[in-house]
Amino acid sequence: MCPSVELRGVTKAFPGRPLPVVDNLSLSVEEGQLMALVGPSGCGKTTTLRLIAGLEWPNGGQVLLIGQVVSDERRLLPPERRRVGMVFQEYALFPHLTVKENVAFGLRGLARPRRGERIGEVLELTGLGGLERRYPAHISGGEQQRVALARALAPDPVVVLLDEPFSNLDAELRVRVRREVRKILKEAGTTAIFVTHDQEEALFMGDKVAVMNTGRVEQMDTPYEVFQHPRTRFVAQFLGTSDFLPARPVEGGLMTELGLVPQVADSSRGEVEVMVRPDDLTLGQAEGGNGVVTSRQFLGTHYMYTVALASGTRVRVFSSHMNHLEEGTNIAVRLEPRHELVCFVGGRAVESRGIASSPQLA
Amino acid sequence: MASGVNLSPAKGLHRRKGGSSLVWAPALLAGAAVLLPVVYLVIRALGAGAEAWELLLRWRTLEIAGRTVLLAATVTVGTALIAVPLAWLTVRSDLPLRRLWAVLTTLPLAIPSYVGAMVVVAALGPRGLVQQIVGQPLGIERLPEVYGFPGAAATLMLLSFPYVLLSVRGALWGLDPALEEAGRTLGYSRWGAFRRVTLPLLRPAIVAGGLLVALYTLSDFGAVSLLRYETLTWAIYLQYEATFDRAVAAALSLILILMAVTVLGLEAWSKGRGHYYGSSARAFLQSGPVPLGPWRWPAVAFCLVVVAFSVALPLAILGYWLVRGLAGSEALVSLLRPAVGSVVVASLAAAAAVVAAFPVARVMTRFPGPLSGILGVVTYSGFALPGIVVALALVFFSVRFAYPVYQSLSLLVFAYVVLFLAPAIGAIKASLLQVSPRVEEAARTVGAGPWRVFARVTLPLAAPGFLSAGALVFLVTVKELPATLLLSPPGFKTLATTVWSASSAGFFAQAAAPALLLVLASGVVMAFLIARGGKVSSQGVTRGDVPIR
Repeated sequence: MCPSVELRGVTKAFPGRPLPVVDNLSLSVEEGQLMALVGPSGCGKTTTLRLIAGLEWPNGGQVLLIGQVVSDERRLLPPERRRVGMVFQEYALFPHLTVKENVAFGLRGLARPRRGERIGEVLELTGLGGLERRYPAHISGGEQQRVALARALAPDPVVVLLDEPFSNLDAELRVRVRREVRKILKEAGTTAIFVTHDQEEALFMGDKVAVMNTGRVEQMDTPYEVFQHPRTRFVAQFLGTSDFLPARPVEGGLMTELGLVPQVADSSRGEVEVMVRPDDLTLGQAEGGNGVVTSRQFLGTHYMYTVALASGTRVRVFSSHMNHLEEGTNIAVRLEPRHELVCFVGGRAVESRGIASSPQLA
Repeated sequence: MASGVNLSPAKGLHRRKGGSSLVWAPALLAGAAVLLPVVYLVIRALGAGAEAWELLLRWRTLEIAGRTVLLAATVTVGTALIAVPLAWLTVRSDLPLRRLWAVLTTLPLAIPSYVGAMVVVAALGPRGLVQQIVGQPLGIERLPEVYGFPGAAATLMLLSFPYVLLSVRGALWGLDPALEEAGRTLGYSRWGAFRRVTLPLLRPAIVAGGLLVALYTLSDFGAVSLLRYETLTWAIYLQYEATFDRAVAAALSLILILMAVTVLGLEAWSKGRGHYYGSSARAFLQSGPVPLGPWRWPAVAFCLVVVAFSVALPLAILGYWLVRGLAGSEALVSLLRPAVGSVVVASLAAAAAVVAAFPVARVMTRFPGPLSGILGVVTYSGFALPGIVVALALVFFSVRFAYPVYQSLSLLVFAYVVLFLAPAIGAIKASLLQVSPRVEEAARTVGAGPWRVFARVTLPLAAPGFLSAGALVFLVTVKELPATLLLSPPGFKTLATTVWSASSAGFFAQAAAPALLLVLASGVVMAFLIARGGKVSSQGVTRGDVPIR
């Protein structure tokens, strides 16, 4: 079975811009899968969606839908013949048509009774019953979102593309709507690709997450894998909070400013850095500390303290909300991971193995 | 108490109120002045009794009214057919020299209708250019008739399509291209998506622009008179000139007022209807212009034809007659008197309009409420009604109640103030809105009284607005034709009346120089309006205004 959507070495450059927006990008999405394209703004994720939809023409490479080439540098199947559904960032609902007419827009090929049936199915799936005769201006943002989704789903597309689908909703609504949207897409069994700059959203929504940077995919894997085993320093920093401790190989592991890490890493190509997250670290007694609190952020259930170590390296540490420390407090930071730490050389993750636990790391 | 402030004496305290009578009186006076002629005309027409109603229902009256409606409808539909494709080409497509075409296609607004009509007659009329160059050598006695409906309709279409163009362009700019793209992903071709999505969304803009064109056509006097198509405006003039039959002229004016009010009402209604939302700057960055492919050159040819017939050929023909006139010892000296006449009367009108507009603009910006709202509508009505109607009403009124001013320069200037108070108010209001009430309040708190605040703070800050209001009124006055024709003192000539009378007599060489000067003046007005309206956006240069006759 071929993937629903496949990109092979696709490149897209815009005139007047020195660097390609999408740079030799390859990607594939299996049928029924929900893929999150995540990355900072300007990384090329929206352009990637538009290339799949046929709204942009690639300068090189191929776009395939169910194994058929739909665009390469010479040919372009126009968007109306691709069976691709798209949910635009601002929804692009037709303001002069009712909810029902919006949903029916892509169903002109169907016979009248079948069309009515399909509209009913999709409206029920998206929970829009009762709003059929309303105009887009007269329904809420969350409802508009679902109309856009219903309109895209109605013609039974090969893939649904969602461009920053939740960016127009306020924070509270966003959490609810994304749960709804995920449920709807899963119930419909559709393949979907959605673009976001919000890491939390990507980790929640995607069956797979592709992290993009400067027009390339840095890593594509399950949410757990990209979070737990980032393959590049960029991915590590983009997903979650990460700090990096320089380390040198010694007998029994890697020596860092916070002690010995019982792991060996291939350091043949440069200096090793060990990635630590705030939950890998704990704060000890004030006496004989190895760092100074430089700022704190109260997060409700806990504090996140930024601590400057003697060498100047800053690390962020979670601590109990009962543990009030003022800026400038001298404090001891301890490294207490309960798992192997990821090691980087030159910004890329390197092979690293644990060695039998060492008494130095209590 | 060390403080010198003394709050106790009651005489120092002011009462709460929405501005003193000193502020309101001049504003209301200006409003009343605008209202006077039209109200008087309506009273006269209604007071004429059974005789007038009989006149209204005469076959001939209905015929003239029918012609007026036919012309307005034809021109409106025609302009939409020219303007919608032009708007799309200059906003959305990759038309070569897109920006240049966008500018060139607004230029017809700079050609007063009587100049446009003069060009048509000078080129295609019985003694015109084409007859002389092509007709005579080939032995053709007569060209096909240029006078009448086809000539008038074509001329007005070519001159007024930019009203629709600007309105539709504005709407297209504000339309999210993602809407059309959504249509494409849902299975519609480019044309299908345009027809099903974009066109319905442009409908309000097309209607708004079309109504402006309808009003322009209803009010037009210059083109229909020179091209001899008897609509209401020309019929009113003929009645007035030939028979001085006041009852007929008044009855015809009443019909014209009703038509204009209907169009204005429709316009207000169409504006008031819920307008569509949805513009997103980000979406614009995403999608580039639509490639025209093989349609590139036909599209360029279309733009070229429109610009050639609406701008380039008229200017070339004017230039030809100018050169020919100069060669044929048509002295430029004859230009002097009308030019001086135009400058004198326009300067007086500009000064008077600014003085009358300031109090109205002030109450409208500082004391918004029902009364200032009514003032706005009243002053706007003077601008929106056909010039010939306003002029005729003033003739009636002065003959009856103020004979000494009849056919005097002061009555003419008064007519200009009635007609052009609204744009003057607009310009002054715009600059008064820039002066924050906080700045005036700050001046009060440091001890300046209201007059001092006005002289030292408000006036200097709003000065650019006064200047631009004056310049605007000056230029539109120079262009104005029907009121000038009706109200000029005997022997008084302006550029506009010179162009009109020379062309109606067929002396095109005489008309060419003043006509070119007028095109220049109108070009400046247009540039000014576009600059003031800022963006040529949602409503175009006519935003909230009415086409300038």
